[in-house]
Amino acid sequence: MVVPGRGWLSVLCGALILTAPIRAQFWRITESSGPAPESNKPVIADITLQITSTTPWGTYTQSLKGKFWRARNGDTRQDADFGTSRIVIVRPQGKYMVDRDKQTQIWIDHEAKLAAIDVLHLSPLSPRTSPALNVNAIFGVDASTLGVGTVAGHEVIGRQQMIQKSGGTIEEGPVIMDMWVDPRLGIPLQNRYRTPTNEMFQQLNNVEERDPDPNLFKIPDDYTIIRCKPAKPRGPIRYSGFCQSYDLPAR
Amino acid sequence: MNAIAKVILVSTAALAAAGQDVRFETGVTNIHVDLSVLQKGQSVHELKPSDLVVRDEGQVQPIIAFQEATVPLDLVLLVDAAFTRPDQKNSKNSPKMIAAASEAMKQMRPRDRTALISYGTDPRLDQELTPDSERIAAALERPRIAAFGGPRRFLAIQWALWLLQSDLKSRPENTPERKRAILMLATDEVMSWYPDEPLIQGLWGTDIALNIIRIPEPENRPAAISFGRSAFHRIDNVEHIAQATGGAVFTDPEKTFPNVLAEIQSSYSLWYRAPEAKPGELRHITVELSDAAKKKYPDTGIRAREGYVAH
Repeated sequence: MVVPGRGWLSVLCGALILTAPIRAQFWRITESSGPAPESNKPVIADITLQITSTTPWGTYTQSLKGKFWRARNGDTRQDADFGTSRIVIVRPQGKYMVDRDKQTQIWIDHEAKLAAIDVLHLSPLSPRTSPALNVNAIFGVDASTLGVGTVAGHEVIGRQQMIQKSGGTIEEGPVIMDMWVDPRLGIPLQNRYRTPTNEMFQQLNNVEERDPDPNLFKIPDDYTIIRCKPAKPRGPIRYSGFCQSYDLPAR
Repeated sequence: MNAIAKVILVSTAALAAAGQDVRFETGVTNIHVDLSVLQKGQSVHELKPSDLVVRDEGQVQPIIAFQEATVPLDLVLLVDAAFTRPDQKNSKNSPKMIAAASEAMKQMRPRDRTALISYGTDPRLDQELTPDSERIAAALERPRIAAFGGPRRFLAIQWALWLLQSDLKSRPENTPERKRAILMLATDEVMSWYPDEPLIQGLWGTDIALNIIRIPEPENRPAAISFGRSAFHRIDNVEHIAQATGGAVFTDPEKTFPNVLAEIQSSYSLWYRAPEAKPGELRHITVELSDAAKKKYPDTGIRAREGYVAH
């Protein structure tokens, strides 16, 4: 087992926290412990994101709406109501595990007609795919069940993850992630991500089990594809992650 | 709201000559636009209202008030907490950045005010708006133990907006106009993680320019943190927010800090009467030099906010 130095413990801890929002919101939509990727149930749903911030000047709430689709092969698309899309193309490997190294993420800005393509490389940071490095254990991530409940008319199972103070790197307090999954659909219907002063709440509503239009997962012909400027790998962890920046055309 | 103030027409000539406070009273709704005019990177001074053409949805608007430099500034400094962590104190960039910021605070004028928000997992208000530059410098020096700034920098901008909005609401009617700006010290990685459209509209609504000083990442801060965005944002980084709000992106903090502050302080302010519009309507603004001024000041660029939300 490779034991990272203190600096890299900080890195991993930060990485874990930074992935929390997406893991809580979107990621597990495609990598949940539900049905095998090749047998996903198709889903079309409305999606609501609400961010509540408690500040010295009062409490502020922002709400956004969007749309979510999942195809039977596990590919997903999520649109925000102001003209953006995020498509995740999965390439199944094995019966139950998606090969996250092969996931491709496409960001589309419909107003600018731009599409950015990222190939994801997340495996080294995943406790599931890197059994020698149990990030949860190292950083005091407590996982517990929330029991069963109902979200948007669906029976769901809840799970909570709490990231405690760890390694002297976080002074703000715990980060708490609640996720309510419909086990039959293999999809989280509600996610809540809480820090001491902010909360992100996302829920799928009006969930329909029908096949989305396959064209939804393609980049329109007249869109400009922009490429990622890949981050330079640093340190012992091989990871490039999402793009830091793109070669954007002038607006 | 000052950006769309209730006004009585004020003599632009008198304002420009006397450098006095801009005060608007009850009457007509006006739009306030701050602008930086740069020629080869240097601020252009002594422009007159007749040197500028301002358009609202493409229609030329008469400028009813105009000032250079003298409008007091409310500035919110946003600092990535990664630069104030104790374990970063010995890294190559952090102390220089903090020192540069502290030193630059001495440039703030007596009536200017500055606030400090650092951002880690959550934003944190380290110093409320104050005219005391030493308090800001002291707050900058206070270490903050936090994880990483990454996804929260977007929320930090939101906090800065709320701070300035709150201050604006708390001010009595008919108090002198003030300029508002945010100066964010961010690492190279400045992707958007939060919804940016509402944020741009919020900044427009309060007439706040977002300026960014991009700083090389601390030496032991890996690139590996740049992931985990939600789908609720555009493919772009926060630079486009800076552009939309009339701000700019700068590099090289040590050399840039004083210049950025000087540029923010020395920009012009103009006001024009708001055309009729439906409440909530997004309106677009363009400001350019007049033909005569273009000849006098060739190769000149203007930064100004690109829109506002009608009230």
